[in-house]
Amino acid sequence: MLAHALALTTLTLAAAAPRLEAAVAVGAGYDSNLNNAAGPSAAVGSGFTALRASGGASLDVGEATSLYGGLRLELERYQDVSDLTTGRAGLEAALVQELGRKWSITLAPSAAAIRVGDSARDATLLAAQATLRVKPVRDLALRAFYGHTSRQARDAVFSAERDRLGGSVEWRVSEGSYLTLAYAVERGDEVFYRSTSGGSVPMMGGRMVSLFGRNEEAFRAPATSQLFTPSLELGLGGGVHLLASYDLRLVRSDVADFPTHSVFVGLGVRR
Amino acid sequence: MKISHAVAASLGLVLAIPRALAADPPVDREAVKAQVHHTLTTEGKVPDDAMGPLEKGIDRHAGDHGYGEAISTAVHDAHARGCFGTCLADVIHETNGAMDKGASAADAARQARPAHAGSRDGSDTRRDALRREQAADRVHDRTQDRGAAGSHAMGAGRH
Repeated sequence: MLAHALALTTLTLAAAAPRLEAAVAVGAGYDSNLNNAAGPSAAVGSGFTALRASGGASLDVGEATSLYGGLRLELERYQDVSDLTTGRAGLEAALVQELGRKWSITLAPSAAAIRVGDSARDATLLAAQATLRVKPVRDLALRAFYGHTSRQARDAVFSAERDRLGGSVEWRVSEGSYLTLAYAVERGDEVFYRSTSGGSVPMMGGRMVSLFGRNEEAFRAPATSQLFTPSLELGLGGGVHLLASYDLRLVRSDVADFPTHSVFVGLGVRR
Repeated sequence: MKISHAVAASLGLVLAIPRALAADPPVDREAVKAQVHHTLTTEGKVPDDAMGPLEKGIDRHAGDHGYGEAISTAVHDAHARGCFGTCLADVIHETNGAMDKGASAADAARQARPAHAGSRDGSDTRRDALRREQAADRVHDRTQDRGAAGSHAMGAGRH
């Protein structure tokens, strides 16, 4: 009986062993419209380099439930607009509930401290996302998600509350390779820039900046954006993969309607 | 005569008690079977269609001393590699198979365990590759589910 009890205890403990996860990606990209300008002639684009790293532990806490907790670090350096260079360090967690063998739901809250070249944009970020995933077959994953982000910046002009609702279709092309098409609609605060005709006094209750080679007033206004993101993760073996993504944002607001484009190519490792 | 019988019986009793105390306690076969089944289907996410072929082997060995520990070792090892479902079913199948050939439960668990360099045959290598693949898929899925997208606008890059 003692041996039996020991075996059962060992079985239970074995199932509770945490798994470590880590990922690092480096890459470069280009964003066509950092100043959210209405017309292409006024838009200021810049190349950027990025480093994204995360690490944490995942622990099964029940028959179909697991918890994740970890750290995330992100650095983005804009070659032509150094005041937008951003460093972000934060904590993230996730509760994953498997619903049968095909469905799962994930609740993922996170918090981060953000430091930007322009210190008025330094901020704290609180976010949460709920994701429903179904894999009707092994190589196909469908996701629907809702997320809310609250960014409290040093200058309120750069603070934002945003809600995002979307979905994605992911096809596992081969081992370690995934082709994804994601769509989301986002409602929330965006930062726009207005010429002050040579003056240095903000007219919209915003903040005077000279990020883009001219004196402008940065101000905040609500906007609705649609995001289309095809992306490819190409497995190269050993957990190494090539990342490539393209983002099309269609922004609509009372201030301006405009598209933005960005591309990113990088190399990642995930364990 | 009666005295000699009494002495013999007493002696037998005295010799038998320590042996009985020293022997392994009887295994509660049904309980081990039920626990193994429960663990594989819930924690190990072994699907019903993969459990079917395992049932006979589990039934055959549930009464063997050390079987519970052997399975726990196999589950622990597979779990650490992200091996669940049919992948874990393969591990249990191999453990049972090794015991069928006369290996002790502990040895069977060791044999079924993904070995490291030097002691592999083709099927082991394929099985390890499958386990790694499943573990990688799992981490990928979880990363995507957390919303840690790799894109600029969908991810954290956009201001």
